[in-house]
Amino acid sequence: MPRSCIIALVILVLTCAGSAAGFIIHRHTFIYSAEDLISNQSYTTKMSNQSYTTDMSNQSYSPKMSEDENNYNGSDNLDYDGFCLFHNNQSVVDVIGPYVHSIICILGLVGNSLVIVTYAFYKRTKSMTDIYLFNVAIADLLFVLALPFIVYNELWSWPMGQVACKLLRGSYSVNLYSGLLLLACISTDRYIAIVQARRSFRLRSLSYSRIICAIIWIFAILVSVPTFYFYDWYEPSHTNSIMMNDDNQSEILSSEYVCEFKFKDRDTAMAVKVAVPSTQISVGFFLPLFIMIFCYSAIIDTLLKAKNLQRHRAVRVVLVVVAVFIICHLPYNIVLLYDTVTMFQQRSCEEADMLEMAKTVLQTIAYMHCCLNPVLYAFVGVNFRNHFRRIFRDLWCLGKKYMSPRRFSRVTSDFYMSSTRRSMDGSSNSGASFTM
Amino acid sequence: MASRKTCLMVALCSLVIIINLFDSAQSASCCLRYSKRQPPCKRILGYTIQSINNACDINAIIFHAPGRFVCADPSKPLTQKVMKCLDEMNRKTNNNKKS
Repeated sequence: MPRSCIIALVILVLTCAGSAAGFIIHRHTFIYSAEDLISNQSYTTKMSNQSYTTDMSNQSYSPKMSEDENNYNGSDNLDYDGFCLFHNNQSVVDVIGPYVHSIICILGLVGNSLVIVTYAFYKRTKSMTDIYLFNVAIADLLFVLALPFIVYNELWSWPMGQVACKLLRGSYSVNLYSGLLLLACISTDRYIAIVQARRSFRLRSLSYSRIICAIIWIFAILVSVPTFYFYDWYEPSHTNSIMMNDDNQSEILSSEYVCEFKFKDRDTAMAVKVAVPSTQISVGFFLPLFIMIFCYSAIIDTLLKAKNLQRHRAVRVVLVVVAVFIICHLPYNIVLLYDTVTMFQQRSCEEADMLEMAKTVLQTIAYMHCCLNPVLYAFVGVNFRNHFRRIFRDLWCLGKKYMSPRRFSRVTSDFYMSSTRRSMDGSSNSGASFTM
Repeated sequence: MASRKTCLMVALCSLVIIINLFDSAQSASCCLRYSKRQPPCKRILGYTIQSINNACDINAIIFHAPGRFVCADPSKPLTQKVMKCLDEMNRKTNNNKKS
């Protein structure tokens, strides 16, 4: 019963996304008429698709021309010409890129590696959720490891080249999909354990969960294939260097590379430019969201029926898990959806700049989710916390061996006392914990 | 415990400082809509084709005027006329250079 529900949901969401993408593509092909297409081809063949500049040395400016110039200088606003430099977004990127992302990176690195170390050395994986959590931590860790490279490359116009471009963009996509789908798997596992308790012995076997994890990773890679394939490292034909020159020399000076979509023909361009974000919105957000809402609402219903005071904490944890997921991902996906729907239309620079800025900020909030996952899923459980304390104790003991015992002995014993006391406290109220 | 905190702080600060040393580059810029006015052919230094096949989302001709980029609709006859004019000028200057 739950499985069939989930499959039905998957199909529903996929069809919705597909039809939406189809609709958008259809509409825009309609806007771009055949005439446009012909003219498009004629100029690209004529121009060999590259930029050139006319030599200005032979030209002299007549007084009439300077009048023209005055006319043009009346509107210093670049937006009037339709060309947008995204100044606001750029200043936001300059702040968020280094500062906020480094904080996310450090927190995510610490949290997720602690989860991985705990599973690898201390806690034996006992349930399906353990295996899923381990995989979520791996996905988040890989994401967090790729993040500084992405930031560095975006700030420095991709000095690391083609392979880094494809690898970083692709791995970002893979980790995004696998992480979010695994969170959905955790919710289904908890659903089976609590709501479908009778079947849980049959359905919750470890070999199942390993297969499911493998399927999810393969699926995430398959969904990311367009990202791997179509992202390219290239020099855009127009650059900003012309804006900086005061004299009338127009040269393409800079060699600024970007890592963006690049296509051979316009039909693939339009299809992929819409398909990639719509897959991200549908499979990377709405699919896990619907699964989580379905599973957790059933869980809360069952828990509330149990009329057990200890269960209130469990309900709170469930609500927080869902709320954090929604807060982190919903705003970004709404903006992404709006951006995708209005993609091929003309926009004003202010609007587009605002949209890009919103995307930058909200994407960072979405990134934060990977730092919160260890707290929300692993450290919430008292069992896990006890294992985690043992790591610190062992690390401390290891450190004590190598340091001079004379200087640190008293501090160590104090710490040891307090930690054992705390762990005893922890075990005493483990009954009230959220362990599923 | 205090040493661990200071370690973390030092690591964080050094990371921020290292990143701060880098100068940031401009991100990709695009034509987002077509300009209502078009500068005359003589005032244009050159042009670039913005294709939907790359990062930008509309097809456009970017005319390079001194100090500005002007976006034009590639399907409009006027745009194509100006492009032809620029091609002519370019050919002439090239011929002058050769001879």
